[in-house]
Amino acid sequence: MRFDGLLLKDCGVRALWSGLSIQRKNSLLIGGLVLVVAATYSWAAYGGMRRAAVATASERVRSVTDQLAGLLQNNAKQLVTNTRTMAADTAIRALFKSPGTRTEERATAALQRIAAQTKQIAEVRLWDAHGRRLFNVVLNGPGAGELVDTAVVQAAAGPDSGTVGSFRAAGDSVLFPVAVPVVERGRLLGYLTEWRRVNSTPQARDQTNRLIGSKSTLYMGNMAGDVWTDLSRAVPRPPVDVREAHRLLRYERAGVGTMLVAASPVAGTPWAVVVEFPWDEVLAPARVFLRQLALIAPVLLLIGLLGAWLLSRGITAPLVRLTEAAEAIAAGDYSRHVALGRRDELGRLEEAFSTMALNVHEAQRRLEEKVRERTAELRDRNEELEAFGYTISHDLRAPLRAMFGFSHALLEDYGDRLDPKGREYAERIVTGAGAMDQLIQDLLAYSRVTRAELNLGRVDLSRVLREATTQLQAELRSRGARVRVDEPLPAVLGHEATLAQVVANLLSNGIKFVAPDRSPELRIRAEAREGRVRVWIEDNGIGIAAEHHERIFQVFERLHGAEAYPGTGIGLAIVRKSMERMGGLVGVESRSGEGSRFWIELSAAERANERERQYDSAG
Amino acid sequence: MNANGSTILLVEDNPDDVLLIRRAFQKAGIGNPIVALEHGDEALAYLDGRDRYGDRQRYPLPTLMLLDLKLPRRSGLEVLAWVRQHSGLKRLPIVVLSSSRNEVDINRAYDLGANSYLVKPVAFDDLLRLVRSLEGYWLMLNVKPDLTAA
Repeated sequence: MRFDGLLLKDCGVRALWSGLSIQRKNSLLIGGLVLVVAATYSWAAYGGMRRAAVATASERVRSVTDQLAGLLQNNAKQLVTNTRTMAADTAIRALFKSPGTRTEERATAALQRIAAQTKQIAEVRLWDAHGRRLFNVVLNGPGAGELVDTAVVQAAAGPDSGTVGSFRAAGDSVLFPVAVPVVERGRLLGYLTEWRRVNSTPQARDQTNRLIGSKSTLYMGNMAGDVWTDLSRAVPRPPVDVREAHRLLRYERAGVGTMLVAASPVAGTPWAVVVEFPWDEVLAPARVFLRQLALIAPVLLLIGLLGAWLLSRGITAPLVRLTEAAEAIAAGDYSRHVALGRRDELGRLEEAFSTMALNVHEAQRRLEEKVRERTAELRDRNEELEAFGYTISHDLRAPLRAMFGFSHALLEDYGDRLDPKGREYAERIVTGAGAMDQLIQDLLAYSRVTRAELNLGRVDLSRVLREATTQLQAELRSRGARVRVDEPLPAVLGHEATLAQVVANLLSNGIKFVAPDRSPELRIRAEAREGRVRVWIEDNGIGIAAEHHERIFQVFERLHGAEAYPGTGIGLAIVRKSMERMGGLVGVESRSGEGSRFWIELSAAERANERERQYDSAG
Repeated sequence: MNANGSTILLVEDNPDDVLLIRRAFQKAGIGNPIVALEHGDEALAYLDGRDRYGDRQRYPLPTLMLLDLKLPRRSGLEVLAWVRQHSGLKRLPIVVLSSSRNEVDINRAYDLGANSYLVKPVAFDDLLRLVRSLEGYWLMLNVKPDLTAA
């Protein structure tokens, strides 16, 4: 069932497609083609754009990250240098040489002077050469608190060194230490550690943004990965392994989306720098391109469809005109001319079509002329034939009347003066003339029924039968014939006089071809046969052998000698021709010695059917 | 009533037919004089009283005309038409006696005002019967018109 349904649906689509005009089909096809080409091109171009955008962005992120790492390395060196300057302050050195309240106050004052200019400095701590803490002062609080400096102090060991340490989280803030040795004339006095807060100023942030772009984010953290900051506060560790720092990575940041990320270690420090770039931004140029395409594509499609429509019309409009002209010709109107004024294939088609139409018209005109000529010729021939028939009836019968009349007169007026032989001869002249008269009459009747115009109408068979029996009254009486009619007889479609002649001929035959010792008995009955009526005329005559059933309906066909059953052999030919002319049939069922059953068949008259139905419903 | 009485005008070109018809009249015992004319022009001359037919005593107007259709010079139909348009003759009973059963001829004859149309039979007995019927109907039963009255 589902298969059938699919098949039907398929057929429906196919029917719909084949029902479309070529103009529409072409437009749809070309439109579809334009769409496919545009889509393919767009997709390829978008892919290229996307790859280029990713490559550009990756390059940029990479280089920005490396630049930042370089910048930070320099910064770290600068910080170490600055701190070294701080450590070289006489107040600091004085404190190492003679620790006490006075020197501490002076050192504190000196440090506070410096810290007033550099707000990032949270706390400064001083250590002796053995790593014991001597002094600390919190400058731009809160300070480093419990954060331990041991590692950085050790890293700064040696008179010329100085280093920055790992980031440390303290509450919201992120701090990192800078450690330098405090030296006087080549002698190590101790160490100074400065804790700086990572807290970039708006200006600094602006600067960074200019470098990396406003959409990007910069993170700094330890290579070890424990503490990270976005340069204002501590942030969770980015999900990137900075030891894999040279590779570009992509990852999902919750609530933000996919990010392109690059990491770079900062040389000379334990730090790493990470730059994140939103993937959306990476793809933005490609997306813009796609949006533009989405705007252009319908325009392209529209132009394609319009072009296809116009192109198709250029082909189909002449075709439509040719078709209309062909239809006009089919309807018999040859006046329609098609002038496309083109010299291409359609122009040639038009030319061929016009030539063909002209030839067809000419051929038809000639044919009609010929038909007219032939019809006139035929009419002339017919008239000649009619004149011939007239001549036969008039001129041929005149001498016949003379033969008949004078041989008759001879017998009547001079019969007593003739011997029996002379009388027999004269009688034979009378008989021969009579036979010839009958022959002429029958031939004329046959020719009349062949050529006469028969207007068919409703004919009542009972009336026809009454007329025929009246015609044959003398004959019927002389032979003592009995005629039985099974009434009622229906009405048929025919020509009354012709049908009466037919029935009379059949009845006459039925009376004539009977064995001499029998008196003729005829039975007439009718039966309905699917809109037609068959009338049977049955006799008790000598019958007809089956091999003669066809022959007897031909002109001049006779089965018996003139002595036994005289006749012209035209009666049944008249019957058949009459039935043909009335759209009917005639036939016979008979065997030699068993009587004959002739039948004629005609269309039933409609009113007869109605009457039958009325009988049916009444019964 | 016209006094010209009982003459029958037979317009027939075939002398055999004239002879046979005359014999049939004779056999039927009809005593009316029969004037036989050979062609249409002669019939017109007779009826019009022209030329040698000027003497109405010798050539009286007939009481009945038997008219063949196929005649030399002027056809029976032409004679018929002429008679029916001629004021002194138009009521003359005319019986067409032709050998043609042609429907066109029959209808045309009646259209032109023939009173009857009979077909010449071949058998003499039939001709005799026809002549007897003619006498019985046209000469005895039929009430004759006044040809000259306006």
